[in-house]
Amino acid sequence: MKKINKIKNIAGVLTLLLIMSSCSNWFDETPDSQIRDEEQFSTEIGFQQQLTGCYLGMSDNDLFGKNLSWLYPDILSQSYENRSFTLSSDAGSYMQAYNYKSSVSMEVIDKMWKSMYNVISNVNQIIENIDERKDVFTSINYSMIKGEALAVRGYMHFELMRLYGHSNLADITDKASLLAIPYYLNSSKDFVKQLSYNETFTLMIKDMEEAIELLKKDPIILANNDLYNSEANVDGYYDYRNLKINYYAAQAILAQIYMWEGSNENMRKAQVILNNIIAENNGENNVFTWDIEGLDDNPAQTDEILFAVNNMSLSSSVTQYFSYNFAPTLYSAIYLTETRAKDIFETNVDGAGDIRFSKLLQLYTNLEFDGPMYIPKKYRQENISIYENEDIIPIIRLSEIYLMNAECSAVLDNDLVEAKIFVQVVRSNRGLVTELVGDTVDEFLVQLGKEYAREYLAEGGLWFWYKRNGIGVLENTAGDIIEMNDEKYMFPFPDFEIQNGREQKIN
Amino acid sequence: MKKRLLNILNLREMRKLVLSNFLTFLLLILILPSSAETYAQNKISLDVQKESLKDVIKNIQNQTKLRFLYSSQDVENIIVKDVKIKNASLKDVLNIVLKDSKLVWEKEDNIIYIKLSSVISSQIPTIRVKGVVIDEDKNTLPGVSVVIKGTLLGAVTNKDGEYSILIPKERVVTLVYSFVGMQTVEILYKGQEEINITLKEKAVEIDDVIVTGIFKRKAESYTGASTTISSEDLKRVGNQNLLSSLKILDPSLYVMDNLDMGSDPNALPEMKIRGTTSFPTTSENSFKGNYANKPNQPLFILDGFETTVENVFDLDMNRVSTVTILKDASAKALYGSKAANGVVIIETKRLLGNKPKVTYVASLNIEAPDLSSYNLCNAEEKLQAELIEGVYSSGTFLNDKVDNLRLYNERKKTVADGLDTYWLSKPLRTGIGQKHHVSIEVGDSNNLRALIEFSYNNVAGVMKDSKRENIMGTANISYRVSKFIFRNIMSMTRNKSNESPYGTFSDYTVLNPYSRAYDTETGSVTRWVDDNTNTPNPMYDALIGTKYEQSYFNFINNFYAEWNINENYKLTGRLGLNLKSSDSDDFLPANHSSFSNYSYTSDELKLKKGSYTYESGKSESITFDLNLNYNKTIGKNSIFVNAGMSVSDKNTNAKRSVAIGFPSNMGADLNFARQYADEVTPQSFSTLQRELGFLAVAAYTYDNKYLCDFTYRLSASSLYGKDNRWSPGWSLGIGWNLHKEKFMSDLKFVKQFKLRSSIGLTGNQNFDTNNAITTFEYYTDRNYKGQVGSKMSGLANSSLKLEQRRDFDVGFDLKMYNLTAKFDYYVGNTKNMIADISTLTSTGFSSVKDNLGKVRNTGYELSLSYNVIQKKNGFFSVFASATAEENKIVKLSDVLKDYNETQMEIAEELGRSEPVLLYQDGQSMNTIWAVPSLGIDPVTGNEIYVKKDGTLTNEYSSLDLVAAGDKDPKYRGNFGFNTEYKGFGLSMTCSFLAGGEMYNSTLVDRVENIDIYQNVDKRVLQGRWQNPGDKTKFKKLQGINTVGDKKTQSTTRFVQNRDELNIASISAYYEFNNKILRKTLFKRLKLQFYMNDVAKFSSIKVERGLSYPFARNFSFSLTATF
Repeated sequence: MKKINKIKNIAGVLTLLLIMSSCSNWFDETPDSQIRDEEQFSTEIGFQQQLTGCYLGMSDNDLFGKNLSWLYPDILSQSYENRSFTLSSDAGSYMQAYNYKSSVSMEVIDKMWKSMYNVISNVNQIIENIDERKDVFTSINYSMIKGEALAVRGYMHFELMRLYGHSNLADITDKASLLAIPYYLNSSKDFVKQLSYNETFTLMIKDMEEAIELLKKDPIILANNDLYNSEANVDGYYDYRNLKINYYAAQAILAQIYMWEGSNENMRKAQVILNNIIAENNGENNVFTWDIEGLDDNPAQTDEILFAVNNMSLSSSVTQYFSYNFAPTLYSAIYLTETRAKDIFETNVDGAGDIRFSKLLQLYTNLEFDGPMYIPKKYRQENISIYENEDIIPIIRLSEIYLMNAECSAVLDNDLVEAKIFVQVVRSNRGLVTELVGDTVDEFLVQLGKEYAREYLAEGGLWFWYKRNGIGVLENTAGDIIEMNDEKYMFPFPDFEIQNGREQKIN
Repeated sequence: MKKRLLNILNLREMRKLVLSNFLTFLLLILILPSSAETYAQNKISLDVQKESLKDVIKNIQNQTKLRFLYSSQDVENIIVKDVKIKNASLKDVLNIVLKDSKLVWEKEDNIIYIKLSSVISSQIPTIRVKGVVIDEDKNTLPGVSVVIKGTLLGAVTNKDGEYSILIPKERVVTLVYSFVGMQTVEILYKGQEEINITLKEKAVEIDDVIVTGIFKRKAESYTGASTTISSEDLKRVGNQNLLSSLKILDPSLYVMDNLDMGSDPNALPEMKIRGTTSFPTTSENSFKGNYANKPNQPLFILDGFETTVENVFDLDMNRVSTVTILKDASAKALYGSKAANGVVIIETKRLLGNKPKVTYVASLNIEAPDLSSYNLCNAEEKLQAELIEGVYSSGTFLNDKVDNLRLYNERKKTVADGLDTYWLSKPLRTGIGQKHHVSIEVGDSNNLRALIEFSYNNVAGVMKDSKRENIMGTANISYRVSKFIFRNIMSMTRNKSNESPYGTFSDYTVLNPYSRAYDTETGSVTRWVDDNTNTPNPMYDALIGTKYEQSYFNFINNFYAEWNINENYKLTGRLGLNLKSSDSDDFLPANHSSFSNYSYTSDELKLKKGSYTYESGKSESITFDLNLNYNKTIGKNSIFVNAGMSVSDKNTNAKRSVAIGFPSNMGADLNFARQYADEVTPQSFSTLQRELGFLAVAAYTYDNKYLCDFTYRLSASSLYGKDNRWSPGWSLGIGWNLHKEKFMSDLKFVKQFKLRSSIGLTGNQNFDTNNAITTFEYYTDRNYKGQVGSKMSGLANSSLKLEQRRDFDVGFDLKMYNLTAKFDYYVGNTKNMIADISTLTSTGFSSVKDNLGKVRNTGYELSLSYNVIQKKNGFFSVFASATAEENKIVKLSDVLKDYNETQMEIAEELGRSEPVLLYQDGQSMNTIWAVPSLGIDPVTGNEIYVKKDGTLTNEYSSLDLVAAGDKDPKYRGNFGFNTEYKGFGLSMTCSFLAGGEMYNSTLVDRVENIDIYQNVDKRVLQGRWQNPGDKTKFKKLQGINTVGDKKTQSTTRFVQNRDELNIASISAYYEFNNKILRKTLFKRLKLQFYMNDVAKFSSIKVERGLSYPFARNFSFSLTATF
């Protein structure tokens, strides 16, 4: 029996050893083709890659790479003539008619929802892990990555609210009880309750403010410029700062959020931010400069972009829609009719000298069609020879800072003179010498909207201008009047969300 | 001839065996001297006051070193009193000792016989009979007892196997020859002077023990439901592979017919035990090698270690000793979290004797294609069908119509000239394969034994050049030293398998019979079968070096150490290593038909013709376990306890890349590729599974009547998240040996009647990806201005639990007269089933793996066998077994309803001829969903559907889908007979299934949803509606232009009853008898003939074997032992 006891002891000790020493680690292993969260977030490079992945997600064709920038918002704002209207398989025709319930348009809208929340889930992984692994970071990496991650989360939620939320929030009185889009603070499969607009704005603003605070170390700020040559940027991670949500982009987004909320109090906060950006960018060494030369090899005017995304497949996705040697068989082509183009750019006044008309639109005449057509050239890739200018899809331009600020001056301070000066900064850089007209604030805002139409053609800005201001009537390219309401302004939540208890009131 | 010395140790063991196993009227005990050479001339001293005769004899034996032979009955109760002798002779001592008893003694050679004096009556005249006793291998057998039946008179063979015995004259006498481990032989004495006897080895009594893969249990005291199949049974029904024999033998193992892959020698079968329990999962793994398990697949254990279905498929059947299928909780709970789908335990042959022996088995296997299910048009019929469908009347412009007409006339002329290509036979052949197996048993002492095997198997499929080739070598060595036994089994397998370069069979079934396979002038294979349509000839692919080749090398080394600490304790340790590396090479030359598409005419794409897909994989597994056994019997109480632990680590890794652009057909090598395939990144697939388990088993029996088993296994797996890492499995089984009860033991004809029941919980782990943990992957298709990005691979569910099955089983085992019966009723409730469920997309993902639903499988299993005749010259026995099964979804969570809706949308899709899978409470998981149909309206030729509200309509709607049948048969079974007469044997096994339905989708595709430009079923012409008033089963001919819109969708019209009877196997053998063999060098010689899948009778006519045809098998085999 002694022997047996001995065996028992040995076996017992062996087993215990196995369990105690290595059990947990031994089990926390995944196959080589998968990377676990512990591994991914064990180095700062892993965090960087995950953040870059979020931008890649944002630049996907379902989001800013195509659908959310140059395609559907401009279709919704009735800017384009669309040859696909004859094709039932293309979402464009349904979108232009604000039919969000057809299966093709629903697919586009549901994918936008899912893709944005996918970016949120991915970025939440960073936010959830970064504070625990603070020890792996050097230099500015911790604050930059966390700052950007928070900004991405805030921005994605803002974008969701802009698309799936109500229009003209300034006039909505029950923002304290009306439910907004769900705000995800964690990467999880669990249901997150919808909060009211006010609560959602609070979360969004908190994320952005925290982000801006952390991003004060951004190398894009002139005072931090030497960081570009420091150890922190040894792999070029901080190159192309305007392809990430940098310090200025984050501020611009926060200003957009305030403006979207629309209360005077918040617009005032926006005004402060916008003035700050303008002040910081008005010296000798500007971060962002007006880009009016060399539009052939830089039609996206990259130097004046606060935030853009990069999509490697841009040239191939664009050619299906913007065709510069129009083929009659290209049914998905989008363009501006001659009347529309001349109307937008007011060529009968002084628009002929507007570079946005003369250089960023391509005239094409084909006798088979109704008449000459104008095709936006902002994404034309053929003549681009500089790597930095390739595949760029602008999201926030310097001009928007001025235009928003003009709006603030007009609305908050009733100061149309200052407002017009802000607008004129933009106009003069587009080759226009005359000031924007408008004697009352309301008249001025109508004209400001037209500036949005000119400035953000093929960038989507006009749609959000309409929605933010709750413009009640639009005119389509055929000249028909369309009455606008929230049924048209709000994308519906995916059916499955509604079935599972999500609430979306559309009046 | 080799002489063998009786080994003491060995004989002592045998004695133990005699005591424990032999139930015979003759209780002979051999008491052996430690050395047989010492002759007894010693003087003997005795000092006995009062001792049993038995002890006294022992005393004398110790002093003389002589052998004593007596019946213990005779010496019992005889007491020797007051004997005091010093240095007396043997003769004197024995006379004194035996003087008061009725016993006498006799000495012959070195053996002293002690017997009752009454039996030896010197008055009766006797005759002396001599002879030699040998075994089947012609070795002489010493120590065999030869006894006159009914008496205690007898003799024992000497070291040369010789004996001599006195037999009373002129009396009918039967001689009984018996020896440990050999079959007892009775010979009627007919006056010969010499009787030479060959004793046969006793067949291993597999009924006695149940092999669980971890330890062995006595069958008598086991409460689990299991089926054990011997190698004889396996080989009786076929010699193809283990799985196809098992499928015939035990209907509870349901191996599904693969209608698509038919008899492809390289297609692994899919199977399940006791019902469907898992949802089909969408696997991202598209690799050709077999790296992952199917969700419903049972666990396979080979020699105690987990193995893959591919290993079992390729295992040489000649190596197998027994297969045990563990079905109920009590039996399979040992394997805890992996056992929910049932466990199949395979044990390879062990070394029993220590005789050198060489066995050679060779077989010739013939596979003949079975095309009886095809019913395609011939050239004339096809042309007529095309004419009716309007192929030749299409076209809007006159010149199109003229062209069409010209084409028709052209084809009509060639058909009239006799062109009628039978495409089905073109890629087929009669496959002739061969199989060789040599096993050598060596080991010249009892401590070291070895079994060395070599086998070669070449299966030639019926598609030309498709084959599977295995070369396997194994070494099984065991070494015994004092209380330790060490054993090591090493096996190496080289597999090489080829798919046919002719492509898939379906490429041929669609070709029109009026097209040409061979050039009219040269007779060579044409490149295009039809110049008008530019359809490539798939036969051409085979001529230009197309290659589909897979291979693997598998090394398995299993080491076992056993320490018999004392009679109660035993410690077993095992270490298993399994390494496998596999390759797959698919080469399609530049002029392969898959590059004949018009898009390959551009200059750029011309250079990209030809492709080479290379795949390589590795898998490794290491398993270690340690088990301590305790066995004790105190009076009528027996206790068995086992405590054990196991650790395992399994991982696989596979990579694939595709290269394109090959300059010539000769360059079947990656080296000649121009580039990697466009937009196809190199891929990899890997799995990792680590496990730690603890096992506790306790069994208690009282008086062998009342039995109780308890098993508990706790295991942790890396597959599950921190929240649910540890998962338990347990079982409780009880049994009652009724035949041991007094009231039953009087009924002599009942040999066994055991009632048993068990309940328990086991799990299923056949899910390859890790879904409980967040993992990340890189964007490989794009980057962000040169920066790399990563993203989550999916949404993790850290609370994901193991799929678990709770089993209840009640059954009995009965043996009476010549009948053996086994019955089981079971209920298996599977919960926490793992499925992809839809999530709110606001989580960022559309689905997540989660536990949901509950499914119940209930069933009955019955097996019977009856020995009609059992005679010395032969036997005749019949057997039958059947199982009835029902699968029912008990509860589904709401999330699957969304899945159902998506499926219904798919059902609406035009041109989908197969029913979709829907899951609904109360229905089977294998329900066929179809819209009720009243058939074809004789007036219009359209189908009439019945809506949910009972109204009739011509419009198809997925909302009207009803449960129209169950794909799984309710009843399955087999029956047959075995017989043997004077070495000639015959057996037949039939299998049947009934009570299920099938959606005849091939009929839909070939008769209604036809592509008229391809060949169609004859019923297109004969069975379809053509004129008002036609009462037909099939819709009207559509006309070529509307065919796309009017496709037949899932309707009850094509749900057909599936009842089948299959003559699964017929085998015949002849075993040469020893008299003939004695003059040859063979010790055994057996010839056998098999036929498999001989004939099939079915209530449903469906095209079987779409991508690969089915085959009938014939096989001749020879077994020789030297």
